[in-house]
This record gives sequence, C-alpha cells and structure tokens, in this order.
Amino acid sequence: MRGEVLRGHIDLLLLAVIANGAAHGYAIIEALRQRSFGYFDLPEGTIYPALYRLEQGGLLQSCWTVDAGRRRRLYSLTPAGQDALQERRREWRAFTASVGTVLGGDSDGA
Amino acid sequence: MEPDLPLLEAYLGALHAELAAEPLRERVVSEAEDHLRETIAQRLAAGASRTEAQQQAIERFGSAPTVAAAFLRLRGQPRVFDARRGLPEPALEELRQATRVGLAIKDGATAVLGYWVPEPVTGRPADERFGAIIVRRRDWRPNLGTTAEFEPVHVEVARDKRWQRFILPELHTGMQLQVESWSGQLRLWLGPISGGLAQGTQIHLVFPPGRHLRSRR
Repeated sequence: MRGEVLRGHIDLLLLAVIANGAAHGYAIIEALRQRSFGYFDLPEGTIYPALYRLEQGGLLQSCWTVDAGRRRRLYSLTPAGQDALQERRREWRAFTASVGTVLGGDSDGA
Repeated sequence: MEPDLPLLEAYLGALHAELAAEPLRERVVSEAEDHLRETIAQRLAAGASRTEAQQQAIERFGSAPTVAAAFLRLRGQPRVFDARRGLPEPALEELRQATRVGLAIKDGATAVLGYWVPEPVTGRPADERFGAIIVRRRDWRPNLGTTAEFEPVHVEVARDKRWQRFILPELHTGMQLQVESWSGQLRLWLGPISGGLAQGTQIHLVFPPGRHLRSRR
C-alpha cells in the first residue's frame, strides 16, 4: 500500500527533501525515511531512477564530489526545480484540503 | 574493492551486468557502491558482522534485477530474457513477482512468455512494467498454425492458486520452457518435450483465449 501511496508523489517528496540542501543519494533516501517516520520504506535502489528522471527534466542538477576519500554524486535543486516544488506544494495542499473537506469529521476512521 | 566485502563485489557485478542497456551504467553502479558502502558502515557501527552488514545493505537496496528494471523502465525498455537454453535466474525472479503472464507465438521456432510486474516507484501513472522471456516453440505437427492463428493471451496469476501452489514451486533456474499450440490453445510446458511426450515435470499451462488458466500434472 505504501508503494501505491508513494507512486505519483515521489517527485514532490524528493524535491522537498533536496530543497533543504544539496545531498547525495544515501542522505536523500535516509531523510525521506526519517521525515516520514519510516512510512516510506522502499527498496532504496529504486529511488535512484526518480532522481535521474528529475535531473533529465531539469529540476535537479548533480556533480561528483569527494567526501572522506569516497566519490559521491551530489544532487541539488535547479531554479526550475525550486519553482516546480512551490507549484506542486500548492497543488498538494489544495488537493489534501479538498479531500479533508469531503471526508468531513470522520477523522478517527470510524 | 576490498576482498573482505565479497557480497558487495558480487552484487555490483550483477548490477553491472543487468544494466547492459543503460547508457549511464557506470554512474549508476558507482552511486550504488557509494550507497551500499554507507549502509554497510552504518550496520557495522551498529554491531553487525561484515557478512550481516553486506546482506542487510543489499536487501535494503533491492535486488540487482529489481534496480535494473527500474532504470529500464525509466528508459521505456522492457526486460527481455532468452530462455531457449534454460530459464535464467533473473527471469525466474521476475516470474515470482508477476501478477499476469501471457503467451504469444513469435514464429515457427520461438514463442514469447510475457509477464507484468508491479513497479514499486516510478512516479508515472502506469503501475506495471512488462517483460518478455523468449522460449522455444514446439508443436506436435511442425509449423502447424501461423502467428496470426493464435492470438496472444494472458492470465491473472497473482491470485491464481494453481499458479502459486503448483507452478511457481516447480520453476527453477535452467529449466526448459516450451510453448505448444494445440487445438486452438497455447500451452506452456515446464520441462523438455521429446517425441511428443513431456520429460521430467509433467505440468503444462493451458492458455485458452478468454478463459482462466488451467494447469495439469
């Protein structure tokens, strides 16, 4: 179910994580897990294609760095990525507000 | 690569091989290595043995076929396996995850076993990816039936008890799969067929168009 929930929202989530600062793949995925309190716990290797797709779409940029003798790829938002993040945040908040309105006071799921 | 991380080394080799069609293969493998080394270091710090740390890191990252499939999906390329000389292990792993399988005649000598696997993370509306396994075609009368006579058919196997209980456990690496067209149906045989009789495992799947999967022993 969590994979189903994540599907379609992975771009927004990754952009939001990387907006906090440039990071390498491991740190991005770890932040995604920690900030969701473990809810988004997926095969880590399958997140990388999403990073590549965002980079190809001009929303991310990346470069090689050397950290403690280890070669790492560092990802950061482009200006287009920052714009996309703002736009998608607005869309998401409008969507969740609408869903909340429809669901009404049934907040406990009873 | 340190010789004391043999599981990591084997995994990266497998991933490199799986990504043969990926134009950024070297970068992908390099990033995977960095990621896995980071995870291994974390596990070691938490008290895991070197073997446990490697196993846990690889398990979290996802199998080489799973990761490679996610990249192929990104490129819009289906995975294709040639199983005419036996079922390769990555193809078997794919079949274990399949929710649907299908059969189609390709030509007089070959057929295709197609499968659909749920995609864990794509960011795209499509929720499944397709792969194909090339297998031998074998008919009781050579060249009986052309491609046009046999429409491709597929069946839902995710909830099919016969597939789950009797077919999947029988599949193994190196197994020969053959497709037979007979009486308007397509049949997938597990195990070699010789002289009109199945050798070894006496199971075949019947793919009658528009009907459910049937299996026989």
